[in-house]
Amino acid sequence: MDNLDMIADYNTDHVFYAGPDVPLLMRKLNDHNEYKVVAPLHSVFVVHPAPMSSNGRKDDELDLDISYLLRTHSLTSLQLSPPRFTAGGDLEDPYIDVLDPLAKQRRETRTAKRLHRQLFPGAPTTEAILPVLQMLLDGKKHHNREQGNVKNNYPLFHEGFNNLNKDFLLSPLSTDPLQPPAEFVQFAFHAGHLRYLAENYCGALFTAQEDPDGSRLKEEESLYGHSLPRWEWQRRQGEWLLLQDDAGNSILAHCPLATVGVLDVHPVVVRARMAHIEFCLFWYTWETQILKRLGRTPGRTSLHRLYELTDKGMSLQRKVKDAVRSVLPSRALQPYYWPPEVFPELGVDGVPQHVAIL
Amino acid sequence: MANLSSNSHPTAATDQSYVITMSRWHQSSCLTPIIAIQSSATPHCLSCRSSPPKTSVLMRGHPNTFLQALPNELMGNLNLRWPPTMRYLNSKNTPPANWSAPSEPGDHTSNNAAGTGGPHCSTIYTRRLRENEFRLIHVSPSPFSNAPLHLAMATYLDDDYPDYEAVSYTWGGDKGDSTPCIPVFIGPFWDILLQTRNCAAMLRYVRHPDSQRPLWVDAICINQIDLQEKAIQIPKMTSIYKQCFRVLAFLGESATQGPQQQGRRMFPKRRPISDLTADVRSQRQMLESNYFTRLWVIQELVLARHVVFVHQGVEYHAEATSAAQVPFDTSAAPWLAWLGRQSIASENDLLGAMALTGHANCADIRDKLFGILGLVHGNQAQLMKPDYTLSSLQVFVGFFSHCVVVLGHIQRVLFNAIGLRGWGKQPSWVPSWSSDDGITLADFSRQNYGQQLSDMLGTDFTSRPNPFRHLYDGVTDRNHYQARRIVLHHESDDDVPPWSLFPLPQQCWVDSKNGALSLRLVHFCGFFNRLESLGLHFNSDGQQRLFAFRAWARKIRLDDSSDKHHGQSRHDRRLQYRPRVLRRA
Repeated sequence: MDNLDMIADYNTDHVFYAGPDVPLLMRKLNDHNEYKVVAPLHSVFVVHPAPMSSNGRKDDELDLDISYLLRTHSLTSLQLSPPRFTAGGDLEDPYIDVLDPLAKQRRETRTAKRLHRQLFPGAPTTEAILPVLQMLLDGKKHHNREQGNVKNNYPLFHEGFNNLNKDFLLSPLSTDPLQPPAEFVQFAFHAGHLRYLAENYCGALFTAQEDPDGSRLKEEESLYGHSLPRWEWQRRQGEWLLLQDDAGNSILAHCPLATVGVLDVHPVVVRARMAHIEFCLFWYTWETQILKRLGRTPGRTSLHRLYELTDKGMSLQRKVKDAVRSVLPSRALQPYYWPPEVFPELGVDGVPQHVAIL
Repeated sequence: MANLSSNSHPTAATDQSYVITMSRWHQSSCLTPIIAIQSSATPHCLSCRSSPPKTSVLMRGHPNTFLQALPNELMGNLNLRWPPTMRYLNSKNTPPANWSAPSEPGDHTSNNAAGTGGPHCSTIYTRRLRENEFRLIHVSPSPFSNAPLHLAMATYLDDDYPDYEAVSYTWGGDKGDSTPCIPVFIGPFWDILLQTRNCAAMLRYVRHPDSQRPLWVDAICINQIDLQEKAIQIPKMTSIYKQCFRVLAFLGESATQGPQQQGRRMFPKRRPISDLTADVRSQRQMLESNYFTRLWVIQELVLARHVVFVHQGVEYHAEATSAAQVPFDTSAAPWLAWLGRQSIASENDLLGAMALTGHANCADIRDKLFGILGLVHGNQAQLMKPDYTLSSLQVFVGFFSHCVVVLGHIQRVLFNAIGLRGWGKQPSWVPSWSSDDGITLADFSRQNYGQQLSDMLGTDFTSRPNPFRHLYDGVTDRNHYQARRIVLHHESDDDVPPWSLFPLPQQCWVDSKNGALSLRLVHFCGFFNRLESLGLHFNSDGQQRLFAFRAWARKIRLDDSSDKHHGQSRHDRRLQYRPRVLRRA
């Protein structure tokens, strides 16, 4: 008899996780939460039905990651640049200054790669990813400069996305997981939403070209006030996560597709820290949706990792950290966490509990 | 001036064990011994007309003091009290109302019971060394190789001492014979101190024909039966080896002798260590010596400024710069790459140092920890002072408790937990430290266990040969199933160990009685049906054992990779692979 077969003689064994990649097979000794380690495991796999796409493609084709999405959807044309301002403080034509991502790559390779590993585990560092990373890095740099109150040095957040594939961005809620939902692209880059975030989390707002007299800002303020809404992630229609405020109004409701139009979005300049928050919210949302549609475990997404970064004081100031904390549900900030909806039929609760290991 | 207190007027033995281990063989009335060497190469006192007893008499009933080990406590009565950085709980699984986070380094609040010390006074060791003292021996000269070994012993202050050499050797030598059976004569009375054959051979080698030679030899300069003195002197070995002007590495009697005996020369040839690289065979032969498998020599060579290897009648001189030019890192003793560098791990990385040296051998299993404390910089190692009044169980459970509770290395420790193999012998969460297993502390962050499986499972197994096809046996339509590795995402970073990304557990403690580790873990699932063994899979990293259980319509696959040597040195990986054995409780 194989030694491992002996384990099956017992019906009191459990799998616990002591941290990333450290699963333990433990035997329950009594009702006082006392266990013994049977053996440390090195992997736990779940074999389950593969999700099928509408066109019948098999799971192996659906098993994607964000980097693949970027590589395959014209995002290689993504070009970002920090904004330039005239002596009077006006924004120069943002489309002139096209950043050379490779030059940036050469300068910041090490940092970029590290950040890349944080955000995209397992994904190869490609030219497609680097500009995005570079934007984050730029944000960090500009944030640092911001300490010197050089208010003109804010990264331009989005203008490069005008080069995105229109069909890709404007496609409706496709059942094809290869396509990120258009709503979330707009969600992330809608000026009003950015302003909403900035207003509530940073307490300051940078006016952009589309709002030179501040009238839209006043309108937003009158709408939302200055109180910090209690945001929470909610599941909706069994599939989508939407960001909602106290009144139950989703951000998408505030920003209907008809009035936004990705290609009509003006250049939006936000503070560097807001770029970080927004970008990571975007990635979190996108990544979560894609993973969920693929039936994969959201687990620790980019936002979690951002939180870890901030927790280490590596990049962002405390305000950003607090902002991230306020957006995430408190349970998600546990060191180790699975959303409870992951594998519910297996009795997975994902909740840390106190045990005594004898 | 040095505080020279030679044992010229030793007091009477204070303990019966002295009669066994160290012997004064003169008449009690003899106060001015006059020693002559008889034709049989044994000493004789012309004053009292006495001769030392035969060695066999001295050894009769004499336990092997070098291998003494305290018995481990029974589980449930561990009485954990070490290291001083740990604060254990006495109540079972319940922290006290005023329980707080573990003490910070430097906070000596725990009750670190001092050892009783046992017999420590004798005619040779007239008193216990103070904390600022250490002993040296002066090897008396003799032109005759078979002349009895005689030493003078002297005590010096830490900051006031003559130039001396420290000797690096193994007590057991090539044959591993750690029995003290060769008499070494000490002081004016020629008191007898039994030493191992290898130690005696080393002393004969270093003995000059015409002048005394000051040496530091651990077996003699530290009173081995005085546990309190050992506890003080062993941490000081770091400075003793650092401040000596050179370390003489005696590889063993057979390795020392050259193809041609040294009869024509008074002193050996001397060569730079780089000459070893020119002779690959000689280098390999030297590194395969038993000497390099011993734990204490690691510290002695890493800390030394200048090392002399005695090999085949030639003395090879090395120091950090010249040793760096020799490709030791690919040799059988890769830690030699750290020769002269004073450290083998990053600051406070005791686990890393232990992983590197865990397979080295030592007579006392506790030295697997105590012997590397001097090789790790930082306050953690300094706070963790050796205490030979503790059993090995108390030492290692205490050490790993410190790693988990104080340093927060939960994952790294639990990843190497012994599990049911340690049933009844040690807590299941503690890694093994037995002499059979060595201490295996694989660094999971560098291994990415399961990634290969995960990658392979994610490939298109319908169109290409897939070595994991058998995983899907029993699944109705395997083309419509997929296996996903369940992992809490983390990214290993060259600079940032993954465990540092997670906060130190706020409520984590160890019970001093039963060694139970209480902490928060994430419960994934329980299972209530029989496991299926899916067999073994072999890959470049070693052996992976897969098993699974059914849960409703899905299966959980558990991968138990037993390769614990990956990520360690090549030398370690040469060791025979030991599959994990799970025993019935």
